[in-house]
Amino acid sequence: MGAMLQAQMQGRHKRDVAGDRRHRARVVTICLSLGLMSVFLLSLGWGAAGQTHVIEALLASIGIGQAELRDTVILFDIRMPRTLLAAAVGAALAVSGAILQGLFRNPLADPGLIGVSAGAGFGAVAAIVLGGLLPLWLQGLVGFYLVPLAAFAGGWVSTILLYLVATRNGRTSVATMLLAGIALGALSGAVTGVIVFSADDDQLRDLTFWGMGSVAGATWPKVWTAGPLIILSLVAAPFLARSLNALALGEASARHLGIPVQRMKNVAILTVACSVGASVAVTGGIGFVGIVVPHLLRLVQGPDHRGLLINAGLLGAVMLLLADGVSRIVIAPAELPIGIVTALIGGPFFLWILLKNRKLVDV
Amino acid sequence: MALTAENLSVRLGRTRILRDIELSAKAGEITVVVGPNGSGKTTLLRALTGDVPYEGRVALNGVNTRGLSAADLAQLRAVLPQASALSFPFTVLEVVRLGLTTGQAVAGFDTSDRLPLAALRRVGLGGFEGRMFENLSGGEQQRVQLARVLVQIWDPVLKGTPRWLFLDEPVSALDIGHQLLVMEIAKDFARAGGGVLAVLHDLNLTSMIADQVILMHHGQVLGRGAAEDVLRNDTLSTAYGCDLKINTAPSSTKPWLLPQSAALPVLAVAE
Repeated sequence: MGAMLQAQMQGRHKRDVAGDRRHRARVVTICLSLGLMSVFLLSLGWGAAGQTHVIEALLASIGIGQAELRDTVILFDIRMPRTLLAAAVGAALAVSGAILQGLFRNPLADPGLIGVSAGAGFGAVAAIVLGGLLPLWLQGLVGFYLVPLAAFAGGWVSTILLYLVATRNGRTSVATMLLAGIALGALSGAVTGVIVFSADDDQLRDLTFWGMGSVAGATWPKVWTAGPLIILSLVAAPFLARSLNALALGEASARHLGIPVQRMKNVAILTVACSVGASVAVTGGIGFVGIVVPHLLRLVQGPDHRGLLINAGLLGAVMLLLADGVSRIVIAPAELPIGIVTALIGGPFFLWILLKNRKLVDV
Repeated sequence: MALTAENLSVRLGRTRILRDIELSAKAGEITVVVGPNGSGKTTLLRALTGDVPYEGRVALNGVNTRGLSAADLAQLRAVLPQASALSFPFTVLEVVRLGLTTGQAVAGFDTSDRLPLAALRRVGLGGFEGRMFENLSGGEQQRVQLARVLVQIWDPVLKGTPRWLFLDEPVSALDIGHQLLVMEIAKDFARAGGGVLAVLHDLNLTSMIADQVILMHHGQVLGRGAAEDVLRNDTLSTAYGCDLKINTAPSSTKPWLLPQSAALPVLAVAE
């Protein structure tokens, strides 16, 4: 048995060619999957109702022992949707970041930085305030999905605008991209402001809750509205991997390798708009996850998108669950909005990447 | 089986960069495009590969390339760009493996590392697979890209159809030894039945390797044919706007040249 194992390991060793990092990506996938499961379970127990109460409630739900009603309610109506939402949004933002970076051929692209989230935010606010003006049949048709759909449309339009502004002759200028992102963000912000100004009191309360950039308000309806859109885009993402790899050589070379570049760009932009739109609609803008997660992974396993997109989803979920944990614990019993936690960690990290990659930004 | 262009024109704004080009390159041969800076050589190659919008018709093996999908075209031809910046830190092996992208869509295609490693050895970079692409010298990077392109169309003929290799200044960053290596690879490819179209600057290299030379001048074809017929004193002097004198290489009948100017004393005279 031992000899067999050894022979197998030698065989593995022989198959691993220098410069091949696919094996490493697989190891990372396994570790992150395990990590995600444990963080997910742990995060159910962070807060006033501690681990033991939560375990009791969990066991009681499958018929073992008994739990207090209070604990059951906390677990299934508060913690569970919140944890699911944090994991889904973390995965969505990290994968969107990785796709945008591959698409713009630049490690500094992030949905929050380049105005995609602001565009989605504009869509969401417009839907909350102006949704009542839509014809009734349309309201009935889209129902709960109005806000996420509007956020999706906002994110989609701003991604396309950004791509058109920043890309000339198939090359994306980073400086233009970041500046255009600021301009688009400011514009969305201003128009959002105008809409907020005209909102009534009820709408204002909705907006305030929405704008906190937090998963604290997670409910099952929010999970059901954002979940399908996010899952759809997470499932679509790995199919972009081969194309994004080829795109690293430039658009012309990608086409010569047989990639239908224009169609692939459209799919990528739709995927990003879908997941960022859904995320922003339910949690507000949460920054930097999309830039930190793919960058860390590239350091470990290289930039091959086949492993990167999957692992970005896993690590993004882990990171946002941890950030949510921090936001719940630091000033307990009060809570920090999660956007503040990610910005506190992500801001300095972004500066670090910027300093390391100065040549990418210098025009 | 051939690569043909009819009435090929390219405009950039109001300027016509290429004007009514007619050309035909045969599979099994090396066709070299030469000409001074700004004569439209690279634009011609980019029009033939569909990288710039063009008017007219380009056909590969008799099929109009406009009617072919990116995937179909990628099976038929590979293109080595002049310079390529890579946006992420890939290893050499990972870059060469991108050449497998095309074949992965085909059933029964060998997606192992056999081809990438063989291609790296072919370009003289065996053992480089674990290095980071961005840390290599310009010439090494160019050869890695050539290996990637070779992986894409490793068999010069597929199911009886010749495949094509487009090379845009493939030796511009290479020393003389590696220039010859790359020329050898192109020759082998053509000898095995594939077609090669290359843009080159070096006229002596062109003379040595080309079965057909296309001399460009002001966006038009000034001369087309065998090296001896195109690389002549009058055509070259017109195209390059300087006095050029053709000699014959000592060991062969192929022409070779040294630049000389009427205003300067001749530094080297070959008889």
